[in-house]
Amino acid sequence: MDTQAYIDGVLAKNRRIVAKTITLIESSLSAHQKMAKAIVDALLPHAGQAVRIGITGVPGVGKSTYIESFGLQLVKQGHRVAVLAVDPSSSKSGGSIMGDKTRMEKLSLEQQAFIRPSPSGGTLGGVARRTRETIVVCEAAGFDVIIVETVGVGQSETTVASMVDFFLVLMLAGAGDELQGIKKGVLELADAIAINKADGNNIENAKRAKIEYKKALSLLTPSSKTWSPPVLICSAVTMDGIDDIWQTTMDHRKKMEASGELALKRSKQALDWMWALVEEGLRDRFYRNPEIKKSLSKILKAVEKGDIAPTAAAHRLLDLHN
Amino acid sequence: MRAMERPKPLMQIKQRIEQFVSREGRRPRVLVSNMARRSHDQDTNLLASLFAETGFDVDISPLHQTPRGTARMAIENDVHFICFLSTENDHKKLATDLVKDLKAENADNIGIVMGGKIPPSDYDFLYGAGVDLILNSALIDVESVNRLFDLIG
Repeated sequence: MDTQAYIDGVLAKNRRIVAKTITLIESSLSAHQKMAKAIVDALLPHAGQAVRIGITGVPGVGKSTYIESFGLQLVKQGHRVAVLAVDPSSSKSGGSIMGDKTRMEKLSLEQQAFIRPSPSGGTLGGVARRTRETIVVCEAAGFDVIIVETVGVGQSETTVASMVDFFLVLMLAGAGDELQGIKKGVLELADAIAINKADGNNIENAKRAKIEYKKALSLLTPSSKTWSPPVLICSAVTMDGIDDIWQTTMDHRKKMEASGELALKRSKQALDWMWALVEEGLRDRFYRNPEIKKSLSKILKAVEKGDIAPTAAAHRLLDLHN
Repeated sequence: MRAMERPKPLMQIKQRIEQFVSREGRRPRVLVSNMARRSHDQDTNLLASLFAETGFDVDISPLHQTPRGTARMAIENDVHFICFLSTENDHKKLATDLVKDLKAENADNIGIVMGGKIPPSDYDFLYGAGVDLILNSALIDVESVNRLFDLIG
């Protein structure tokens, strides 16, 4: 398939070709990357209109089930929803298990939905290297709500927050110390907090947790003049509160658009994207540099044995790269 | 400290995966689909972990998946092959339907691997219907992974 066939296929909303394009984008081969770059460049003018939502939360908070309910609700309202989920790869075998769809039983069969899990590969923080490019492809294929799900550990939240319009943090109530275990950094990124699993006996706990989180948020300096992150409660099982979260997302969008902050955010994100690519390119060039390839293993051994100080070794490697 | 020595056949598989990655730009990706009517299936989960331990990227389907749902998920996730276990006596129909559904979506390049309790007398029928590989159990071993690689290159 040539570049144009990919572009035409994506614009024609062909599911198989959208999937193939994402594979191309995630490929580690430079020939594939070159093609992917041309495709993304051609698709860029067709992208940008979707509502981009990032969703995070600790393992067990019910992210996949939440997305199943949330996504189905949106599809029912006539939206086309793409879900991009990143799953951690094992550092030992390199393989990965992507089981999010096991909990997205109905959404995964909807004609108006597209769910693509990606292995994190070697990337730190667990965000697939190419989620931004994948967002562009999905938008060009006519998806108007893009949901990016993160693993909820490490630095992936910051990365995902830097590519979405609205960042939702899912929390649990009733686990004792509500604020234990979440980093302040994650709260700072949140455009809204939703306490999930507020059903049955847990509703009272959720309401109490809501007050706690509200207090915690009030201690933070708001990042926007027009928006202070609300705390909501919901249940992905009973569907209670799910629509409120969508209304909150829309409310956020309206206010951000009116104040010009959305445009500002997007242009700042364009810079983030650029820098991410520059840093990745630098790392790539470093490892591909023949001088580095020649000496790297020798220097690594010397550091391991203690023959060279790590600082001196780093300098030597960087000098070699110049 | 030296890592524990891997047995030789596993090293070979590791090498084949590495060769695959350097040629294809990604790991071999398999959809382990659960098309059984039983409400839970530990065998499927075990099979999925074995694939992941071996170094594959593994997608798992929701329970009670239909052949059409399996085909759709395989296409959307762009896997190299689908693996499913036969638990009841309906493997002939599942296989035939899956082949048909993949073809309908222009995706008959996706391989089909079956495992579980399949009587050898059904092998000819299944291979004839378009199944690429039949495992003689619900597990994968070194030999079957090697045969898999012969299949996907």
